[in-house]
Amino acid sequence: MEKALIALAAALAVAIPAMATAYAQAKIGSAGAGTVAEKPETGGTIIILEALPETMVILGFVVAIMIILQLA
Amino acid sequence: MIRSMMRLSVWGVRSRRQEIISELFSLGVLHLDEGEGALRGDDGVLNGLRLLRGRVLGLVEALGWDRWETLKDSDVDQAVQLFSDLPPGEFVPEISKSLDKFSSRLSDLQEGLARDEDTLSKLRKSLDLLSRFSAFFQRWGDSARESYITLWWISPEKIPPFLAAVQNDLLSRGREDFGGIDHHFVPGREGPGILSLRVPQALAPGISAIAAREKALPWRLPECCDQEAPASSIPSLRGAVDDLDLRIRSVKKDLSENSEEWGPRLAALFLFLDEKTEQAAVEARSETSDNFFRLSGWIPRDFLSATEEALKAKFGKDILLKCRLPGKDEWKDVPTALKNRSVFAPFELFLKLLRPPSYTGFDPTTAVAVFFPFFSGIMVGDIGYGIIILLLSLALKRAKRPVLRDAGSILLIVSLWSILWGAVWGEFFGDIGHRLFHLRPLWIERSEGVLPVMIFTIALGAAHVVLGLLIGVWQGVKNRHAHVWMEKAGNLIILGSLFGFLFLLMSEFPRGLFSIPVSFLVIGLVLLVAGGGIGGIIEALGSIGNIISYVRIAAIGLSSAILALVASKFLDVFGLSILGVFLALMIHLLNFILAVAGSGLHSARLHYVEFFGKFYSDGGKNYTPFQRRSGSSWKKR
Repeated sequence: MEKALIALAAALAVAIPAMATAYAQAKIGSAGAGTVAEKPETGGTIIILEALPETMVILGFVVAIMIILQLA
Repeated sequence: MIRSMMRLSVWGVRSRRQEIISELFSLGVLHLDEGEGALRGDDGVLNGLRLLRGRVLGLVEALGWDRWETLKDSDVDQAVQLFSDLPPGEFVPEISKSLDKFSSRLSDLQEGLARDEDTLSKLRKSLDLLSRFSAFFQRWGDSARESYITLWWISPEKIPPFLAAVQNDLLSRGREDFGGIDHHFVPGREGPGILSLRVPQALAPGISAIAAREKALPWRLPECCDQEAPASSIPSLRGAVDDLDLRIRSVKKDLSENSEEWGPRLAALFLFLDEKTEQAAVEARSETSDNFFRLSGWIPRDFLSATEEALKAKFGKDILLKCRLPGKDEWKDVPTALKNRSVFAPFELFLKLLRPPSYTGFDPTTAVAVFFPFFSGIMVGDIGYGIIILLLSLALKRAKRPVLRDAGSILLIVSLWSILWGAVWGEFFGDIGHRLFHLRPLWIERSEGVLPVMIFTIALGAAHVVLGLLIGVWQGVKNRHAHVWMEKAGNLIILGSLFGFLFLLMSEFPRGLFSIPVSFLVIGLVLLVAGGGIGGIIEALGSIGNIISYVRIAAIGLSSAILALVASKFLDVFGLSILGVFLALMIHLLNFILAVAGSGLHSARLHYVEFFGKFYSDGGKNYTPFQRRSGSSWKKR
């Protein structure tokens, strides 16, 4: 049971930031697409803005790995 | 690296102004000042060229020719040679006169075609309508000759009163033997339809009056057959349609041949006029006195002597060149021109998505060329995928478009690192290399040793971020921006002290040594606050986040490795069956696409956000020399 809870915690550590990232990227992506359509030179900035929320998942991944290592 | 630029002023005698500007255009190295003199709106030559350029483009579009990408520079050169001895004041009226004739002929053809198409459409509609009455016409056979058949626009609700009125008229004339009237109605899509009415010839004069009373309008045959009776006009209409169709095809063929023959010539003429307009605009903007004119701009230092020699050889004493290094107050106006070794130059592509670095800034192309393929290679990390990327890159390097060739060069280096890291992780299409050739990892299997790979990527991130900060410190010192180097140096010292803490924590050294990193931490904080204020502290925390962000290299690599293992599992479950092999191939294909796209995107992001953020100062201006534009996209503006 304890192992299952630890595994669930690791899954949630990735899943919750992933959902938050997806939400943020959807918002940034739709606004960014409009911006690039009007000003193509902003492409680089938009890629950067689009990529920023991914850090949440990466940090979630690190936490999940730490939790799983506890399990091991 | 960023090219060293020189300020070049060109003084010339006014009588040779056009020649000198044309030569500068051919040399294509001088970036002219944007605000060079005021453009005079009343310049007759310039306005004439602009007008003519617009007319030529209009004709190209009227011809329906749009294969600009097939046009070569040699086509434009032919036009240049044709008019090279004439000043714009002379060739503009000549070209205009020729265009008048051409334009008039083209316009006649196109207007005639439009008229014919309109007539054809009307004839087809009439033919279609009469065809729907043909059974009605045929019903009466020869007796139709004794009858008067007419066609009327009428609303359906008006038909019964109209027919009753006609019937009454018939009865009042004592023609009971005629056998009554006959009619056929074809409804319209909405509102009125067409009514065909057959009555005795004797009633013909009175029908129009009855129709007018009942608000029915006569339907007339088209002009070509309006002398014929509706019942017999179908063959004539059919013949007219065929004749007109033939004529339209012939005119279209003629127009198409004209387009093929004259489209490229007019397009080349447009490009020639475009260049001449640009040169005339520079002439109009130049500072000109009664005898002399002056133009100024920026030129890369390594092009200077060759340019001076070429201009002196051609214009001798009619030209005077003065050059100097830019002053400190001019740095913000100096355009940024990049110069990198051919192996690094394709990576300049990454800077095209950003505003160029300032003239005194740092060109990170070499650093990107080293780290981008390295990071991507770690993420892909599969010998098999690496070989496919290698083949793809070799194909791309043969492409015509320079951007695709650059992408091919980048992918080539990525593929080599992917193969190398594939050997390090022991992966060849996942574990197929191990199964078939007993391939062993040189270091560790990614799916087994997650923690060591994560620590390795964080160490890589630390090195990359520290390199970025070192460049930032160097930039600050070089440009004498104290706040910049103090902030970056403070950041570096804080990171160094944190690494010191970690090292001491994991080692057997005495606890008393902790005072060393603490001292450095305090020094770093002081520098950080002095350079960047409170925002500097946030920046320092951001640097730690930046380093952790490099874990994505391990994370994406791990997902790629596991997906490749899943592909092999399909073979285990389904055996060497068609389904098993198909599913395994599909998963590998998906994994390959994700690996290439994901590794490229994340590696680029690590550069744009984590690395460039430490030193990159944009705000530069692109170096756009006064020259013929290359490529195809610019040709039609």
